[in-house]
Amino acid sequence: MSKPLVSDHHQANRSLGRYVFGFIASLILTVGAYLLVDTHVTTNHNGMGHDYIIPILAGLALVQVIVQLICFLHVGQETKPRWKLFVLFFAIAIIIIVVLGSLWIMANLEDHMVMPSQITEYMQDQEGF
Amino acid sequence: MNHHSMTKAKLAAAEHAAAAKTQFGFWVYLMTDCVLFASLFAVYAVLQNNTARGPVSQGLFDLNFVLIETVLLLTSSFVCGMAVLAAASLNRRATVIFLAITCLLGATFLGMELYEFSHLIHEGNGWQTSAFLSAFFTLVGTHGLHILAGLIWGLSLIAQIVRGGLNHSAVKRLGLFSLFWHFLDVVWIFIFTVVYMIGSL
Repeated sequence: MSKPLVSDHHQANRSLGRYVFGFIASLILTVGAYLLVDTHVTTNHNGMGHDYIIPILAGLALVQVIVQLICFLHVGQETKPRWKLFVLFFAIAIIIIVVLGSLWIMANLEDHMVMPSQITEYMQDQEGF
Repeated sequence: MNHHSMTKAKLAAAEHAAAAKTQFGFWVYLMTDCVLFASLFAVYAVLQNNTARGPVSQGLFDLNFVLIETVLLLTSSFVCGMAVLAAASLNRRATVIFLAITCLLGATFLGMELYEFSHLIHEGNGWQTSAFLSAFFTLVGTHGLHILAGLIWGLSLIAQIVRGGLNHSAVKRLGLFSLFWHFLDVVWIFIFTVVYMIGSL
């Protein structure tokens, strides 16, 4: 009877450690992103360009999501038929299709859009359609 | 006696299997909720620059305010994990206290969000102003509605544990609630980064 209790205690300690690690790591990643943006804004957009800052912010967010999925949502800690992980990857695939697909299609549509002023210009140039 | 303990063990195993199934079902719900948020993010990303005659996202948000909101929600998520650990070691008092702190931090977060909304509307930057602000209020507001639902759930859990103790069903529900609450924090990382951080650049 005492043996499973000891291992329970051990496991509780391990998950406490996981929560604490997840909390501290998330705090650091959040404050890091904030400092990056805040210094950029207060220094009147000097220093790093957007081409560098946006990928760094995206990277910080991605790392924090992975940290929280593992430490708080216990992803990957289930036993073998890993259905939860499977559903998660399926959801990620859908999310990528929805978000990137929407951006792609809408950017493409915008490329093909003609401003009303351009139509007027065209009509004046060509003396009508 | 032996027979009795065997049926007891069987019963415990069956309960465990049922709880695992419930957890999986709830996980599938959370993933579909992810897809809901993904579509709102897609809308926001597409309409972000369609500001009409309204304000642009740059300079619209108070970064310090958002940082405090974010830290509150993150702490709330962490304390919720502590409630789960307290329940696992059958400490009823600690479970209730941790859950109460979770709800208190969540309520403060929601209050700050509502303050931000009312401030924006008061300045004339409501959701009717532009496609950008419509998308902003829809995305952030949907997250806020989830937080509200979580608060109601958390408070009813506290009531259940105070009245009936840490029985099997209460512990099971606490596990589901913690998944929901941690999930909302993960969604907030995206809102924090995409709307508030990148939007302020």
